[in-house]
Amino acid sequence: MPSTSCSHGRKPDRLVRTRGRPRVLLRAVAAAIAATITCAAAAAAQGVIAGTVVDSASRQPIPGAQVNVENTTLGNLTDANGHFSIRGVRGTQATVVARRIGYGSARQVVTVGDTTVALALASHPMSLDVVVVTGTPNGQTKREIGNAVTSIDVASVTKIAPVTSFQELVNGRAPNVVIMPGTGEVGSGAKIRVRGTSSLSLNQTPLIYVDGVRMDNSQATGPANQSFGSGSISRWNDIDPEDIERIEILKGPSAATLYGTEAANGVIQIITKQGAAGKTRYDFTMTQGANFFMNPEGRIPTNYNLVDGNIESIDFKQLNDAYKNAYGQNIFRTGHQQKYHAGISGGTDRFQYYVAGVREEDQGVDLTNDLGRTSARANLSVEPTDKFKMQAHLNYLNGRTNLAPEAGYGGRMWTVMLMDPLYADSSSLGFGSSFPWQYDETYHMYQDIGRFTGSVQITHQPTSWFTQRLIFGADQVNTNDVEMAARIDSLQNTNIDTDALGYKYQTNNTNKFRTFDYSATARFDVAPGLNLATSVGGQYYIKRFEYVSAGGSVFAAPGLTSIGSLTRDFTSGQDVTENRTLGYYVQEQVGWKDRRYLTLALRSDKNSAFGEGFGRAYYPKASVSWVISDEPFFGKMSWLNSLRLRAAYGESGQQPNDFDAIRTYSPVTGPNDQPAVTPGSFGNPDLGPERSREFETGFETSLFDDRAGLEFTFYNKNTKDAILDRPVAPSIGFANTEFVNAGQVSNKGVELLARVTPVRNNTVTWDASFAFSYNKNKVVNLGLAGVPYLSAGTYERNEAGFPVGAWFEKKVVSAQLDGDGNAINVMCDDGMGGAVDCASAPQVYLGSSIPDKQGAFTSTVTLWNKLKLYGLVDFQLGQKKLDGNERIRCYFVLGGVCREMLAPKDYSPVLEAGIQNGMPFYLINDAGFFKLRELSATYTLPGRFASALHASGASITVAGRNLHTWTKYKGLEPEAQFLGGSRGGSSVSWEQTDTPQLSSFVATLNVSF
Amino acid sequence: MRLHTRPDAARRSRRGVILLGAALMASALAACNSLLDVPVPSRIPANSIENPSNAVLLTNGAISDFDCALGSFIVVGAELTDEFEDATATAARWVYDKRDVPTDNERYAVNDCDAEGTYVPINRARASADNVLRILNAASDSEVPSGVNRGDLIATLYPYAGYARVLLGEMFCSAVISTLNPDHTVTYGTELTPQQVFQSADSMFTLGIAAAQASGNTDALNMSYIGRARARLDLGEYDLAKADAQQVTDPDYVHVATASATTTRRANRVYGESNTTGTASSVGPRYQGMTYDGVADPRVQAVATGKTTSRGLVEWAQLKYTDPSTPIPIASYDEAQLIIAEADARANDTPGAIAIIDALHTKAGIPTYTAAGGATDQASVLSQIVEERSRELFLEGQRLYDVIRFDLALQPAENTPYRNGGVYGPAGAALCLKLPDVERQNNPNLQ
Repeated sequence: MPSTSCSHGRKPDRLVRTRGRPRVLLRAVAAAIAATITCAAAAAAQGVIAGTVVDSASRQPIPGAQVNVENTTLGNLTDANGHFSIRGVRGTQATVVARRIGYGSARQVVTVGDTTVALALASHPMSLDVVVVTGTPNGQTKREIGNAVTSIDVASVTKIAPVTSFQELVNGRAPNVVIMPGTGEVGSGAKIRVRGTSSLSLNQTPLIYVDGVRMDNSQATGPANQSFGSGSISRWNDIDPEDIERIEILKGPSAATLYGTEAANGVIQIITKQGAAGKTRYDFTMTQGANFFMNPEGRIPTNYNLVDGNIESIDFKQLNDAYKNAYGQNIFRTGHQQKYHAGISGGTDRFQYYVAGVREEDQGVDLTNDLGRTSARANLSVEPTDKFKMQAHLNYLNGRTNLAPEAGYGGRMWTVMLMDPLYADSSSLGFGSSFPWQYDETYHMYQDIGRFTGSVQITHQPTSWFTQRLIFGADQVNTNDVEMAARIDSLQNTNIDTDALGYKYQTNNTNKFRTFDYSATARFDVAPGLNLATSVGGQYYIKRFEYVSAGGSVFAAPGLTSIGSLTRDFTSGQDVTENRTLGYYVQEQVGWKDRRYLTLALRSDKNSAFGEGFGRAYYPKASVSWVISDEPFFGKMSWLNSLRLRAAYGESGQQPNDFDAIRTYSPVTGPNDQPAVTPGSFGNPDLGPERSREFETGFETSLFDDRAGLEFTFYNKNTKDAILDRPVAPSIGFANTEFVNAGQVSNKGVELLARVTPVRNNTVTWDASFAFSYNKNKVVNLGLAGVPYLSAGTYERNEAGFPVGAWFEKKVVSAQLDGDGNAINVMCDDGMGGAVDCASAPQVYLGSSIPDKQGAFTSTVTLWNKLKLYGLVDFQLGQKKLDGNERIRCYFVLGGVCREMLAPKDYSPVLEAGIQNGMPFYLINDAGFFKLRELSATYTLPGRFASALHASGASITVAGRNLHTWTKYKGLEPEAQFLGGSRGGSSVSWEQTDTPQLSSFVATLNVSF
Repeated sequence: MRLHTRPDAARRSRRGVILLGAALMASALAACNSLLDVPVPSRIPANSIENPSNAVLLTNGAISDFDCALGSFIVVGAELTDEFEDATATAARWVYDKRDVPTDNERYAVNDCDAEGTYVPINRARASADNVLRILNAASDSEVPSGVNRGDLIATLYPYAGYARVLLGEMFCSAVISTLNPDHTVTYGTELTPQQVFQSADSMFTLGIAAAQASGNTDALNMSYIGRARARLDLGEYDLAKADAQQVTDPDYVHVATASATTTRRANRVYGESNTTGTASSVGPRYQGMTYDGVADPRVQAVATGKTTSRGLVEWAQLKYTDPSTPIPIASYDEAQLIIAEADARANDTPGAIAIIDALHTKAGIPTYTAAGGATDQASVLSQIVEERSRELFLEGQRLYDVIRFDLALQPAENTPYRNGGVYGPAGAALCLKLPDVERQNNPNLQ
């Protein structure tokens, strides 16, 4: 089509292909000249600028680069071949700027009508010209912002890395963003923490925005049984990585001030893929792979018991062999992983689209653990006039996640961990409880989801100096959580016991998030080199959680599964909680010659959860950014390409939970089933938000011909008025806790991100990066007179001077064994360096339950621009975990199937004293680890192979995940988290019969047409 | 100032934009309050309900709080004594069964009545009754809805306030009674001995008797008399206890905590713990197949379920409560008779005591004590009264304080290995639960 020719100037390619046929060539040359003249005239008349963006070193086209006409809203993305086209440019000349994560910017003054603009971007490990989302219209370049903003180029990551979920995508790629999964069950979610733990009682979850709209950021959902387990489902993983273009992370209050109340835990922005003007592009990705339990024989401990007076053992291999002989299956299966993604994108200068669909099926190692889901996305962009731009983002997800019982709920891990040689020759085959197949047949726990997310963003630039933006959007999540035991009469006399009579509890949840966001920015050139940008905005957020639940027990007969067929213990419930925030901000930014920036801002919020005695919350912000390497006085050093210094101070908050401020009664059924009320929440009318104040400073530098980059940040975050879930004296008659603003929590640390390209030539490119963060977390004070500490779970507490959720337990320091192996003369740590009788000993500090050091190494070697070899090793250090597997094996449940209980004289008296007295201090140990998280090889097929498929490009990736762990932790999995798990409940730092992180191998085929 | 556009056009545009922005902001500010209104469909703000117009609703609430607390009190008391043995694999419950409950144990200190909690639900029951009594006593008859007898409600509530105190005193080594004030502040109580708590209960029953007499509420009157008799028995004031018990003359009198299958909170907690289809708590050996003089005693019915736990416990289900809606006696004529009998025995009026025992046996359809040749000396009769109480009041929440006040030994004995690990704790007078840490750490008067 002529327009295509005009836009992309492809005639020369066609001329080359026609060489050897002179007459045809002549006609073609004539046609090309005519077309060029015609197109140029037409292009100038339509105000078109088009061209190509390439890598300055490899000359390879760069897809997904943002090309803008400076001082206008006009812009477009480059397509898969690096082409761009922008229409509607006024005047005869314009300045176009191209940007892309991982590259510097390229700025060029061009003639309007020029369709052969060539822009070359140099690889830049610490580019300052990337535009990031900050809450103001059109965002800001990194050089303007006084904070560190971590950007993840997701489109590049998914091409080579074996990531199937959002949490896998973020893991190891952003300093100080810690991913803490609870279990290896597929479909389960992780806790995500940014810059430490700031609150003692509230949600620690960062805010999440997708294309400018606030989303449901729940990290712990699912069937109620999982409140006792660890396999909860995170809403974060509903977003398919294949649909994400990039992620930007604002880590703390100093960066997230404009987001106000709720932003104290940081803000994560997800920008999904957009279409680019040009011919229609078809992308298809297929992944096939396997999930498996790595080396269960070597990791699951051997159990012991006295059999006919002798100590006998049973290990996993023996148990599995017995099970396989009896029932023809292994205890743990190899799960099948498959995913299919298809996308169509393209458009014209005025209209672009990206439409994609995904089908994913994933099986865990437990026969009842799997997920299947389908999602569809449509992202549309329209520019009806030069002044308006409208974008719509629509996504729908539907699927089911089946979770298997584990942790305290029984299941495979339980019955295996408690295997007992005493019963190895009996009908139980040595299983500690029920057979795996009995769990499979009895328990059915799943979550169905239907989630719609939609947003409309309208950008209006009536004049060159003023831009305003309106965003409104909705995120609606409908889930159906089911916890069911089937009625199987034949299992009633087994360890399944009365559960085999059946029960079912079902909760239908509807979570609604609504966003209304207006913001405007006016830019003024006050004097040569001096410019001002004034921004104002107002946001209105609604989030509403509604559920209806019903349940009961004992199905009337086998085969029945409906709640209506239950016969006993009926329960039902329904509730609505809603929270609303209305806030405004004003921000003034002063820029001097594109190298010095001062930003001042003030945010004010009012929230429906604030107490009546609390007014508005105000959050100030100030930041400076100085690209010192651009200063004339800064001498030119060949090895230093750029250096920016920055500092920022800002505040943000987190509102109380809904209704915590008011004293309430709850409706109940009274005597003779009459209506009644009972005391509910005690309430605190003065309850306000937690306030987090943060100062950060640091620098970015690019060195050695942009082959090395370093980003360093120091931060000091203090959360004051921390909301404490303080127990109340039960004698007052109201509920167990009240919320008060009292505590203070400190998080102080450094973040480092280094990127280096040691080798870069036409044959080999080697890129490596190292991300590291250190966070010193401490409860400064609780602010509660007479309250020395608050419980944070069993053996965990919040106490001034120690990390949040620190381990505390009595610690045996000396003991002896008598002739029978019983621990005697047991003395404990008195907390002051001495020893005291354990009966009166205090619980002493044993370590932090959360890591203080976190990071990752990545390495990518590219050979001949065709083969990429990639690996990622991440680590978390400084945390201790309670090995609950050992606890239940040794003494807590059955009285001991660990050898330490049977032959105490073979072990240390101190250890035996701990076991025999039920003091698990010896089980709380270093759980730091390094993991070979990702390893892959990606081969881009030669053009002739792609052509054989009628494709424009194709690649194959072979990858592995969770392939090796280096750790001193003696338990099964240093990342496991028991009771509460990612729900954030108590005992989060235990491991107890959790499925470990699964390993996987996958092969992925990418084809583009 | 230099703008990117022509000055005139720029000024006009800027003015328009500023006006538009100002209008938007002003609109939003004006709508601010209503925009932040949120529905509260499942919670009732205290300010809107704590008034006499809701007298019936509040009274029902106080009664329901007590009924729920009573069920949990009976179950926990049964586990602590010999009525129940724990048959679950839930280690957190075993502390009751082995009589070794630490003061930081969340279950007994924090949990609600539907999860074996005791300190919280009993305190809630007491505070609810006290709070509603405060509201009703401060109101006039005209402030309650028409057709509602304020005095009758007050008479109904006082015995509940008294019984909640009795439960506190019987289960805990010490307790606290705090007060919610009309302005929503709290007057924290101090640590009280069980005797002080029983005296407080005595006062509540006394007020209840007066209110019941004034309003003509016979049920409340009987309940208050029996309640005060129990409190006085607990105080060792046997003559006074007997005098109160003798005020109850209706042989069929019983006041119950109603139950129903409508909600978990309303269900008979004891039945939920122990029935033929589910046995979280198994009836203790002492009560299995119980007979008197060779005849099965119908007052203590239990049956083997045919199941054995993985730890070797043969499960027995209670049959006293036959379904989730079976009511639980709070106060009864039979209990009053046993109180009289005990007072008689302690006063060495053994014939009087034996007559009551015989009458209860006849009522139950088993041989009388006299016919069975029971000894008539004071110690034997008193011992028989303990036995009678354990049978007649089986799973009614009386056994715990009987063990304490009679200093009864329990089996297995202290320091005997517990089947799930650890050893049994003390019994007898030392069996009470200590004041939990949650009260001690959060009550400013106890620091």
